[in-house]
Amino acid sequence: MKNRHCRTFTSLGLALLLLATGCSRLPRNSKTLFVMVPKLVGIPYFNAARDGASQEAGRLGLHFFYTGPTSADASLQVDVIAGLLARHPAVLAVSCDDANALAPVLRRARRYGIPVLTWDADAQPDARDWFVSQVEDETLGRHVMDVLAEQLAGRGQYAIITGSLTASNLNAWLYWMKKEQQEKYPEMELVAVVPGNDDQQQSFVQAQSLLQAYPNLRGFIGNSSAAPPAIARAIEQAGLSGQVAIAGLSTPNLMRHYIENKTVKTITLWDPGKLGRLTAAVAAMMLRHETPRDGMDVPGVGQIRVFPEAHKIVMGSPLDFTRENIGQYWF
Amino acid sequence: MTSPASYEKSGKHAPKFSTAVMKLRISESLQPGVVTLLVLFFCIYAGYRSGDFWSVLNWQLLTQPLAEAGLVSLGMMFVIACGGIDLSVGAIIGVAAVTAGITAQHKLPVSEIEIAALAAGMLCGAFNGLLIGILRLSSILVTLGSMILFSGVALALSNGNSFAGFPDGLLWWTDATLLGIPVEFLLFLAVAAISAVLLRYTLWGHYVIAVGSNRVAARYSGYPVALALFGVYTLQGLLCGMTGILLVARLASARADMGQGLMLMAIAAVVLGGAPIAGGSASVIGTLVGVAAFYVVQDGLLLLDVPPFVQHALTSVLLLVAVAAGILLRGNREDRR
Repeated sequence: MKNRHCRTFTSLGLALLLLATGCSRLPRNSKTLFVMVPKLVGIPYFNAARDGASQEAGRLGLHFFYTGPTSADASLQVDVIAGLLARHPAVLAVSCDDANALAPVLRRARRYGIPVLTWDADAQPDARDWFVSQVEDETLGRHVMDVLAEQLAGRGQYAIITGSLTASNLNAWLYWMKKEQQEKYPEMELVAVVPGNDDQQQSFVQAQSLLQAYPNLRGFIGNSSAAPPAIARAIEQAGLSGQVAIAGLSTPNLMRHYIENKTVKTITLWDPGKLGRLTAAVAAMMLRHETPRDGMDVPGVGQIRVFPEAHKIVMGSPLDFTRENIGQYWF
Repeated sequence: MTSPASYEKSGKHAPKFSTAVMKLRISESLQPGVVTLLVLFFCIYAGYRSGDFWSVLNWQLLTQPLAEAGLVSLGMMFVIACGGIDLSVGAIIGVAAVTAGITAQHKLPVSEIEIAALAAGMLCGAFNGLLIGILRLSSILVTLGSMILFSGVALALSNGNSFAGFPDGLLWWTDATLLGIPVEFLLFLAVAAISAVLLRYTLWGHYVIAVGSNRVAARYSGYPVALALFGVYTLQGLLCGMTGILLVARLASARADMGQGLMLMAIAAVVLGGAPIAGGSASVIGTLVGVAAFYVVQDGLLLLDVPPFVQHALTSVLLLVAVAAGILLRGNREDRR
């Protein structure tokens, strides 16, 4: 009686596992295995990067493998990477959830002789070989300010809603936005910089109170992906569509509604698909023991900038989403 | 692993007392057996399909997170054995990690960093123990509240930032190996051995099982229920402190949200090891098997190219199959809790 139960359950369990994973032996392709790890799997931004990388890796003859934690948690990401080290991938590329927490496991990978790239978000510099960055802080900050200034014809009051006041990447962009305005648009006036803490509701409340506090406010910059849709909603509710301009950084999916109904003209980010493609291209260079060169032309990406001292590769210019092109992007 | 007290419940079925005892014993030894068998099958299969599964490196890397989850699971085993549950373990780990981060920033020596983190964990655990043991509040309510309290404290202390720059002496925990076995894992095995002794050969272990079997009866028998419970939660806090140190060492950084995922993992590991969730019985071997099953299977699935979301689904299938098997093997319907 008891043995029967035992047999049933063990065979049932085994059958399930066999069903789920198929039965053939996996090839040991560690010489060309390119492993890409996002901050988390299952969100459109990283899916777009995965698709780009997978295409390019296929073209370059790399075996592409994409996996990561199911939630944005640094220690889960470390566990996943530790598990992957046993396969001894030929190249490892990671978008780091936490620059400090990821450093030990990446250093370990380098000790085992695995070339390590970071993409999208960097780790401590000594933990990786190259950082594949989407766009330089200066270019991005200046560009966003230009977008706003063009809509305001270079004059009037504007406010900035950022993510958190301690996020180093956001603060770097903020610095260049302000600098661009001071240098090129002296007739514009920054009235406030407030945090929305990457939260749509908080950003919405901030935008509402700014609209009330400054009746002459003519423009907003949303400096974290949650801010622009929240600002657009606040402007729409106040009935000021078309009178108050919006520029900033957000994803097409978040902004699609407001761009299609003309509350927002232009929103800026970069193309994660291209970033994935570039990461795969750099991985292929690592395998061929080539060093990326400044001004190199990468197929499907364009000219890249390379900073050999910082071991940093920059994809290039930011991407503007408008009514004309937003239909082509889904992330 | 059972003490006489755990039979008290079965003792209700007076005519069938001896058969009930037999069945309880069989089911408790069988559930870890079933799980071990399942996992062994899986290992053979994974080893056949992926050449990397049996590599030394894989097992070295695999046993480190396993040791951390294992320590929390051992604490959870005592908590569940005495009829309680602890939802605050993740938050306690966060407090311990942040304490280590702050002390490391003040350039204290490694031993003091470790003592501070352990003390912080123990204090949190003692707080739970005080409310649950002495004030007799419900464990699920107390730890739900303290989970929010502790993670709030950890967030406030760290301001939401992550600490880095720990001394090499602390990072030793993650780099050192003895005969190729990570010291983290050896520490876990040592703690497991101590737990087995505590559970089996000390009066306190006997009290814990008695309280879990029937708290009222234990009280009327003159057992120090409050003290036993206080000890259980303080020990859990201490083990969370240890886990916090190991996590900090392995990630070379400290954050308030560090132990988040470990609470459910620990409860699941204890249940997978065959312990009844209502308490009254505990097995160190079962807990070891339970926690190892999770990590071995997850690691194997990763090496088999199984997509992350499917990994979760398959791991939970393992849990359900094992628990169902355990219940069915128990035979006697009245024991199916």
